[in-house]
Amino acid sequence: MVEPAPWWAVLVVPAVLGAFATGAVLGSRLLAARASGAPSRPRAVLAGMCAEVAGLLVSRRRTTLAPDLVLWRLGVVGVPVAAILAVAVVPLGHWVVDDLRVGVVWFNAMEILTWAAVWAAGWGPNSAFSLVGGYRMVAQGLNYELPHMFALIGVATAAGSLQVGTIVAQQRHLWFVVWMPVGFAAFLLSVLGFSFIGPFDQPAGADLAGGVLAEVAGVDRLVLAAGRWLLLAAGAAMAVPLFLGGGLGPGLPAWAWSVLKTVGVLGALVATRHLVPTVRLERWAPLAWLVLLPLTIVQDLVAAVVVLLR
Amino acid sequence: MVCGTVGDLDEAVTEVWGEMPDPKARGDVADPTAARGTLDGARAQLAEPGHVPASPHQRAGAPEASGADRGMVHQDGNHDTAHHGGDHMGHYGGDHTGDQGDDHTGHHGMSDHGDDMAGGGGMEMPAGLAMAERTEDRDGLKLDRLHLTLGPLLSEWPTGLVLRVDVQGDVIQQARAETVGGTGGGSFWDEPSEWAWRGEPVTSGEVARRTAGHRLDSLGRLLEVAGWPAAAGSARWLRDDLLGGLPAALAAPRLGRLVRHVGRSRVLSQMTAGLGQGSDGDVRARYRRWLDDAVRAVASLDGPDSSGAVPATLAPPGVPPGAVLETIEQLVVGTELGVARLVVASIDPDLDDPRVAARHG
Repeated sequence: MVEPAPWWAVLVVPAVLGAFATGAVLGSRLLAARASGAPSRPRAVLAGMCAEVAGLLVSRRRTTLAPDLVLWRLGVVGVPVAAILAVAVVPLGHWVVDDLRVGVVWFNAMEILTWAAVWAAGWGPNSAFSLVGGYRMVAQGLNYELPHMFALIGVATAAGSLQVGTIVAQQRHLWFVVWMPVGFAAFLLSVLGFSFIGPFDQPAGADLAGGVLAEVAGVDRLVLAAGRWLLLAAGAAMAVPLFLGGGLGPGLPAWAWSVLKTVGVLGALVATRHLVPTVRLERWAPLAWLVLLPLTIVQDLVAAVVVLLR
Repeated sequence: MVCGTVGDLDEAVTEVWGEMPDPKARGDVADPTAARGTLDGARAQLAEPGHVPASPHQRAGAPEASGADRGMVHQDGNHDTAHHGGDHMGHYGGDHTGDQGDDHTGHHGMSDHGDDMAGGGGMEMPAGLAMAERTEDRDGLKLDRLHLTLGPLLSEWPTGLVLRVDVQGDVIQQARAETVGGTGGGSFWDEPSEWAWRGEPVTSGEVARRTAGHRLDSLGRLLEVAGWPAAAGSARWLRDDLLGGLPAALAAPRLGRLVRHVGRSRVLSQMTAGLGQGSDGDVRARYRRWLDDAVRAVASLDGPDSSGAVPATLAPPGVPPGAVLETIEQLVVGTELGVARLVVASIDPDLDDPRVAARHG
């Protein structure tokens, strides 16, 4: 039911992902404007975002003293590139760029790429705040990665496949979220983690004057900041085929279900950002390792037993 | 935009300005009534067709770079920090006696580089940076020790506070707090009490209004540092409205919502419990006290006229003003940079208060 899309899908996918990310940024700015009493009509918010993007496009990029330019640029560009590559295996309704047999592993590999990219973006400018931000990303990764992988393993076990198309097909009767809620929650937390947004924004924290974002200006800043939101959108899009039955649903065409579900997940993630302050790593680590990780392992056990008895 | 009198911060302001990315326009507002005109002027300047951004190479000795929101950092007391936030608002670093001719385009500072004036190093590196010295850390490991200066301009930081720290990794090993000259000229938040002392007619409602504004101002900064910009925005919005004369009947429900949202946040409570434990409690106790103070102040907004001396502001029970800098030094040692920022934000020294700013750097 999931079939490879024509070659031009390669061009469409970044645009679709960009549209989701733009929507998420707009929604987030709308919530922020409401909370702080700034003009919050959608048109005013849109104009504000366009002005900021235009401002970044015309302002100079900057270089610091003795930077590692190669690593820095690779890191900045690597974040959005990883997001776009990750969605190559995510179906929109029936279409997907390539339904790899190891699609889940591909997605996971691209997500890990962001560790390296963010770390490099923090290392590059030769600045203490950026550097600390980059290392926070690595520390954050160590705390969300295992629950994330166990969440993916639960899905793969339940579907008996690493192919995203097969995973969707296996949810014909019951979405995985229904009997794997813990895996779903762990996956969503890790989406906030790898896009370093919201409660897991420590790598770019306000306490570090922006962390990995502290030294980037102009177009570099635009690329890195956009990369975060593309990652968030990619994670939300992937949650749909993994846990929410992909394009399955009554009445509407499959692509519409995919879009609706993705918007829903993305909306929940953006709302979290406004409801919860930053979760600092030294307080999150014990929870992640002592509570979340065992829970996801139990979740996988449940999935395995269900598959055996079925 | 530079608001208020700059005093000895001038050098810091100039440096931050130099590090902002082009195109840019600067406005100085000493008097609130001039704000609109200055903003319009800055906008017109940016919109000018002939507005050519200054060359990135024009600054002496700067190899490259036009600064943007610049980061902090610097090694060793000579250069100081500059920082910035995502918002390009300022940060910068202080007294810099850089001998490198660059006005700082770079900051240096990383765990493996030192400034060439750093005590420990003599080894020149291409950018004029030397290796950092190493010392034992709290676990007995030999680690690079980096000298950083936080402030005096840094987003969500008490303007004028300079915190010189030695860090290993992101943990502060030593700290020295100072203030930049020009502070201590009298606090905006204490004005009504001062008027009352001078015998001018001041209502207790006026004092309460200013007190509520002060607590919300501190809260906004702390929430921003704690990574909760939405709640910080609400606190600041209410602060501005209160100072603008919002009636108590409208202020109370809004403050109630804020108190419920912030005061009952389990995550915020978990994240701040046990941090910066001093004689007046921890970070959590301090922000909860601000919330209580604000509620009490808003409840007495319609306070009666009283001629002559009114009891000063609802006396802050916190750290005695003369001991604030010492307290900050003690509390930040051994903490991670982010925790240190929370601790400073929770004490939120008002450096315009001469009792706080007594020690100059």
